[in-house]
Amino acid sequence: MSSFAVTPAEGEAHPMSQDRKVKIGMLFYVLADAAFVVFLLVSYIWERAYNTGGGWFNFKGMALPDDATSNLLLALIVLSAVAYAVAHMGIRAGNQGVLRVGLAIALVLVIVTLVWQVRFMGQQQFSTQDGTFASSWIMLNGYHVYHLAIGIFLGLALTIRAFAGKYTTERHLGLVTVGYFWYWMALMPVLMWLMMLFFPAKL
Amino acid sequence: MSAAHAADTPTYNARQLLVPSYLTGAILGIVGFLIGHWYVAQYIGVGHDEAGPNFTEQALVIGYILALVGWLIGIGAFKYPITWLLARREPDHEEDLRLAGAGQGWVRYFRFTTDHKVVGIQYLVLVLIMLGLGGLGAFLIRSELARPGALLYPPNTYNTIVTMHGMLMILATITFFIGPFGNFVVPIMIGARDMAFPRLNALSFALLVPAVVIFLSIPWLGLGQSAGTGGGLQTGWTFYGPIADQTGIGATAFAFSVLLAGTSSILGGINVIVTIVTMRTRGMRWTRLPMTVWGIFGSALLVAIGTSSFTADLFLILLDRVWNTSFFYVATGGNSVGQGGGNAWLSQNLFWFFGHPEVYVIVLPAFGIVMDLIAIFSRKPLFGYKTGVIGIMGVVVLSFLVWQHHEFVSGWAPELRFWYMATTELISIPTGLVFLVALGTIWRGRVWLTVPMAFAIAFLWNFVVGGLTGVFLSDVPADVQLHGGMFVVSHFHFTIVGGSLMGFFAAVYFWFPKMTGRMMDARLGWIHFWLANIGFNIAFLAIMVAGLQGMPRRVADYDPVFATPNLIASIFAYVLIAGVAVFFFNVVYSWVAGEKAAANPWGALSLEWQVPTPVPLENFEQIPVVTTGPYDYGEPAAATPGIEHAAGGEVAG
Amino acid sequence: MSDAQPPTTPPAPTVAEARGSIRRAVLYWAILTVVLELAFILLAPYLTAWQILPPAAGDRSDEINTVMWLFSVLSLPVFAMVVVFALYSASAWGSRARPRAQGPAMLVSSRFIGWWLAISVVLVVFLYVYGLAFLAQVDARPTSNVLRVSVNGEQWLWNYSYPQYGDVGGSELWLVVNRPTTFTITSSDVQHSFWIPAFDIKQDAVPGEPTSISVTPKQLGDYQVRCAELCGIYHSYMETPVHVVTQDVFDAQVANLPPAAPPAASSLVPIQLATSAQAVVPRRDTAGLAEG
Ligand code: HEA
Ligand code: HEA
Ligand code: CUA
Ligand SMILES: [Cu+2]
Repeated sequence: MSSFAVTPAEGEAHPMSQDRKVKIGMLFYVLADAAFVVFLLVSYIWERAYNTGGGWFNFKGMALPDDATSNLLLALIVLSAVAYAVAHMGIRAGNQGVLRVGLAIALVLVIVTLVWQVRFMGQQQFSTQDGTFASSWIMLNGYHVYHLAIGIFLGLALTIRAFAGKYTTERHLGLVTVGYFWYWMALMPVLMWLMMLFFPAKL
Repeated sequence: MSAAHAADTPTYNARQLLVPSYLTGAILGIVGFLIGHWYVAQYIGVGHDEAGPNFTEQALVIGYILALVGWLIGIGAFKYPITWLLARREPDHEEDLRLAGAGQGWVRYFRFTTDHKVVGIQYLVLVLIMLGLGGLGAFLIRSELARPGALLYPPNTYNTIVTMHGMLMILATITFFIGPFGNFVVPIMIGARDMAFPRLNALSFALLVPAVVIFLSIPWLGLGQSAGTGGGLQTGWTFYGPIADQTGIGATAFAFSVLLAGTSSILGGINVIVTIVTMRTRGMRWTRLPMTVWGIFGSALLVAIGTSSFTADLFLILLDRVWNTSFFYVATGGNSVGQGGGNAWLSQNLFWFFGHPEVYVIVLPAFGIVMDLIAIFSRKPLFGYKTGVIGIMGVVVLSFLVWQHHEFVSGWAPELRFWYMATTELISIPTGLVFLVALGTIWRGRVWLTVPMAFAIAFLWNFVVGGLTGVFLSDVPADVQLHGGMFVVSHFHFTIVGGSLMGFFAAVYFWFPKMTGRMMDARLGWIHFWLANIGFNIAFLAIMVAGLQGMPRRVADYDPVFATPNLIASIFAYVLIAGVAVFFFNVVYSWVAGEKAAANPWGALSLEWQVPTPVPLENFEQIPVVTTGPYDYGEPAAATPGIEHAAGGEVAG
Repeated sequence: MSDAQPPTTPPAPTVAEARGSIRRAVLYWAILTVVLELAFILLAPYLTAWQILPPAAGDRSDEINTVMWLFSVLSLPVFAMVVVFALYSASAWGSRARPRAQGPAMLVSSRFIGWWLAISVVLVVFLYVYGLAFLAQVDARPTSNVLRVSVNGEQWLWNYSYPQYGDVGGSELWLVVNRPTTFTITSSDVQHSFWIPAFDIKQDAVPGEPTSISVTPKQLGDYQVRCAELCGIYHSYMETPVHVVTQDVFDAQVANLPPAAPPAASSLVPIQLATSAQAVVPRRDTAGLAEG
C-alpha cells in the first residue's frame, strides 16, 4: 500500500501561499522581539518594586529626564507610524505618490527621532552608574535606539524600492510585513512612556 | 537522481568557491576583532576614570561585535539584504540553486549555504563537536570528584569547568534536535522543498559558529589572573546576577556568546515553526504529521517564546559588567562607583522563566522521536495519536507556569510556592500520556530490535527515573532539603542524558542512513548501547545517593563521608564516556566506510524515507500529495511494510 | 534489500496468547513492585545509620524523611510498570531480524485513557495534598521562647550574631537543644544558601533582601552548615560547624563571645580587586590548592 500519491498536474502548486509564509514569519519575529522588550520592561518595574537600599536614583542634585522632550520624541515616532499607515493606504488605493511621500516622511521622522534621542540621552546629568533608575532608563532608551536603527535600514529599503516602482496595488508584501515591525517600533516607546508614567522616578 | 538537475549543474573555479566562504568569514572576523579591541583599548579606554565604564570588558565586547560583523560580511550573509535594500534584481531560481550549494561538492558545507540538508549536516557535526567537548568537561568533573580533596585543579578551575560543561551541553542539546533533524528531516517529512526561510536558516547556523568559538575562548580569558583573584567563570550555568557581575572577564565572553547562540536558536525556532505551519504539502494534515514533527514543533515554540527572557538577563548582566549599571549590584553606596539598588531575584526569575521551558525544549523532540521509532519498529500504528499530541502540547503550555520551582528556597514569593508546586506536579500528567502511548504501541508489536529501537526503549526506563525524581523535587518540603545538592544533579542527568541524549542517539542511528547514505555499524552500536546504559545508570544512581547524603553541587572538594558514592560514580561515568567514545568512533567510521544504505532501510512509512538516498537537491521531483498517515501499519490495514515509491525512485521493502 | 536474514520472526500471537501475555506482564509487574517495595521498606530504617541520609536532628527531619519515604513507595510501582511493559514486549516479541509481518492495529480506547488519567490525577493530587500539609510546617514560625540568630553570608564564611544577647557573635553557630530558633539571613556580597543538612533546612542568603527560616534542634551534637549556592572560588569550603548544646552551655558560651562586627555595608567588590585576606582559610587539607 502506498502512503503517498503524486498527482503531476498539481505538483508545484503549494497549498499555502508564499505571502502567508512571510507574514507569519515576520509576525513571529516581532513577537520574539516584543517578548524581549517585555522582559526589559518587567526588569524596570522589578527594580522599582524591589529596589534594595534606596538605590533607585541617586539625586546628587541632578535633574530627571525632561518630560517635554520625552513627550516630543514619543509624538515624533507615533507620527512616523501614522505616515507609514498613510503610505500603505496610498498604495492600496494605487497612488504611488502618496506611497513615496508617506514612506519618505516616515523615514525622515525616524532619523530625526534617532538623532534627537541620542542627543537627549547624552544630555542627561546622570550616567549608568547612578542607581537602578538611571540604569533602566538608559537601557530602555538604548534599546529603543537600536530599534530605530533597524527601522532606518528597513525604511530606507522600502523608500528606495518605492521610488524604483517595485510596489503595486496587488503586490506590496514588503510594505505589509515591514509594517508589523514599524508599528511595533512605535508601540514600544508608548509602552515605555506608560511605564515612566505609572512607575515614575520620583514618587 | 534526476537527470534534469544534473544537466544544468553549474561548475565553479577555486576562487568562486572560496570567496565568500567560511574561510573569508573567519579572516574578516579575526580582523574585525583585532580592530575593535585595539581601537577601544588604545583610544577610548586611555586614562579613563576608575569608576567609569570598564574598558577592558568594553574592548572585548566591541571586538566581538566587529568580529561578528566581519564574519557575516566574509561569508556573504549581507549580500541579499543589500541587494534588497537597493531594489536590485530579485534572485532567480538559478541563483537560489547556487546559494543552495548546487555543484559545489564538499565545499558547500563550509559556505553560507541555504539547502536545508546541508544546514542539517553542518548542525549535526557542530552539535557532535559540542557534545564531545561538553563530555570532555564531564570527564574532567568526574576525575576531580573521584576522591575527596582538590585533586587535580584549584576550585576556580573546577567551577569554570562545571559552568562550561553545563552551558555547552545545554547549547548542544537545545540544538541537537532542532538543528540536525529539524533542518534535515522535517522539511522532507512534511513534503517541502526547503525550509520556509532558507537564508534565515543559513544565518542561524552562521551565528552559532562564532558563538561556539567565543565560548571556547573562555578558559583562555583572564588567564593571567592568578587563582586567588578570580580568572575563569565562577557562576554555574545559571549565571545569577551578582556573582556574574563579580566574576572574571570570562563572564563577558560567556554572556556574549550565549546571547548569540540564543539569537540563533530563536531564529531557527521561528523558521521551524513557520515551515511546519505553512509548508506542509497537500494532504499533510495536522493529524498526519509524524510525532517527530510535533515534538520539534513544540520545542520550537518554547524556544521562540522563552529564550527572550534569558537573552534579556544576559543583556542586563553585560550592561552591569561593561557600563557599570546596577541591575544586580546591590551596593548601598558603600563602594566607589555609587551604584546600587539592584536585585538578585530579578536575575533568577529571568533565568528560570527561560530555564524551565528550556528543559522541555530538550526533551519534547525526544518524546516525538521515541513515539515515532517505537511505532515504526513495532510495525504498529501509534496507540493514540491525539493522546500523544495532547501530551506534547500539554507540556508546552504547562512549562511556562512552573519556573519558580527552581527558587523554592530563594526567599522570593514564598507564599506562591503552593501554586508552583501544583503546576509542577501537574506536568507529570501530560508526560504520562506520552508514556501511555509509547508503552501501548510497543505492546504486542512485531518488535524489531535495532540499535535505534534499543535506545528508544532505554529512553523509557531512564526518563521515568528522571521524571519521578523530579516529582520529589517539586514537593517543597523535600526540595528544601534537596535543592542545591547532588540529588538535583542526578535528577536532571536522568532526564537529559537518560532521556534526551538517548533520544538523540536513537535519532542519529535512525536517520544517519538518510543523511549520509550509509548505515551505522550495528555491532559498534550495541557496544555503545550497553556501555552507555550500564555506565549511566550506575553512575547517576550513585550520585543520587550522594545527594541524599547531603552533598552540595558545584564543589571541587567534599567531605570524606561522600567518598564511596563518588568513587562509584566516577568509575561508571568513565564507562559511560567510553560508550559515547565508541559512538563517536562509529559515526566517523560509518560515515567513511559504512555499508551503503538503501532508500528505506527500516521500512518506515513517513515521507523522508520515500525519497531516494542521497536526497536530491530539491528533495522531490514533484511535490507529493499525501493520502494516508505515517502510522498505517497494522494487520488489517496494510499488507506489507514495503513502500512503492511514488515517483520512480528505488523500491524498498 | 540489505537485510536478507533467515525468517526467524516469531509467528503473530493469537488473541488468547495476547490475553495470556497481559496476565503474565501484570504478574511480573506485581512481583517486581513487591520486591522493590519490600526491599525499600525493610532497608529504609537503616538509611540514616548507614549515612545514606543525614542524621535527623531537627524537629522537621522526621517529617521530611516521611515525605521522601512515601514518595519513594509510590514511585516504585510507576517505575516498575514502565520497565516491565517495555522489557516484556521487547523480549516476548522482539527479534533482531527484520519483521516480515505487522503488529495488530490496536488503538487506545477513551475508557482506557480515562482510567489512566484518573489514576495519575489521584496520585498527583494525593502527593500534592500531602506535600501541602508539610509545607505549612515549613513555613510555621515559633512564637514563644524563640532564639533569634542573625546570619550573614560573606565570601566565604558565615557570620552569626545573637540580637537577644547584645549582638555578640562569631563565625561558629551555637544553638540550644529543643529551643525554637529563627534565623534571619542576608548576605553582604553575592547569593549564598544557608543549609544545615541535619536539620533539613535551607534558605538562600540574598544581598539586600533578608530572608528567614525556623527550626528546633532536637539532638545534642555537632553538625555542619553548608553553603548550597555557588558563590565563587571557595564555595566548596564554605562549611562551618554548628554546635547544639544545652541552655547552660550556651549561656556560658555566649558570655565569652565578642560583640559581632557590624555587618559590612553591602558591597560587591569586583573579584579582581578583592584582597586575598577575604579568602578564608579552607577547613580541610588544601595541599591541592596551593599551586594554581
Ligand atoms: C530534560 C530536562 C528535564 C525534564 C524533562 C525535567 C522534568 C521535570 N523536572 Fe526537572 N530539572 C532539569 C531538567 C529537567 N527536568 C534541570 C536541568 C534542572 C536543574 C537546573 C539547575 O539547577 O542547574 C531541574 C531541576 C528541577 C527542579 C528544581 C530542583 C532544585 O534545584 O531545587 C524541580 C523541582 O520541582 C524539577 C522538577 C521536575 C519535574 C516535576 C519534571 C516533570 O516534567 C517530570 C514528569 C515525568 C514523570 C513524572 C515520569 C513519567 C510519568 C508517568 C509514568 C506517569 C505517572 C506518574 C505520576 C502520576 C507521578 N526539576
Ligand atoms: C545538557 C546536557 C548535559 C549532558 C548531556 C551532561 C552529561 C554528563 N554530565 Fe553534566 N551537567 C549538565 C548538563 C549535562 N550534563 C548541567 C546543566 C550541569 C550543571 C552545571 C552547573 O551546576 O552549573 C551539569 C553538571 C554535572 C555534574 C555536577 C558538577 C557539580 O555540580 O559539581 C556532573 C558530575 O558528575 C556531571 C556529569 C556528567 C556526565 C558524567 C555526563 C555524561 O553523560 C557525559 C557523556 C560523554 C559524552 C557525551 C562525550 C564523550 C566524549 C568523548 C568520548 C571525547 C570525544 C571528544 C571529541 C569529539 C572532541 N554533570
Ligand atoms: Cu557561599 Cu556557596
Ligand atoms: Cu524546572
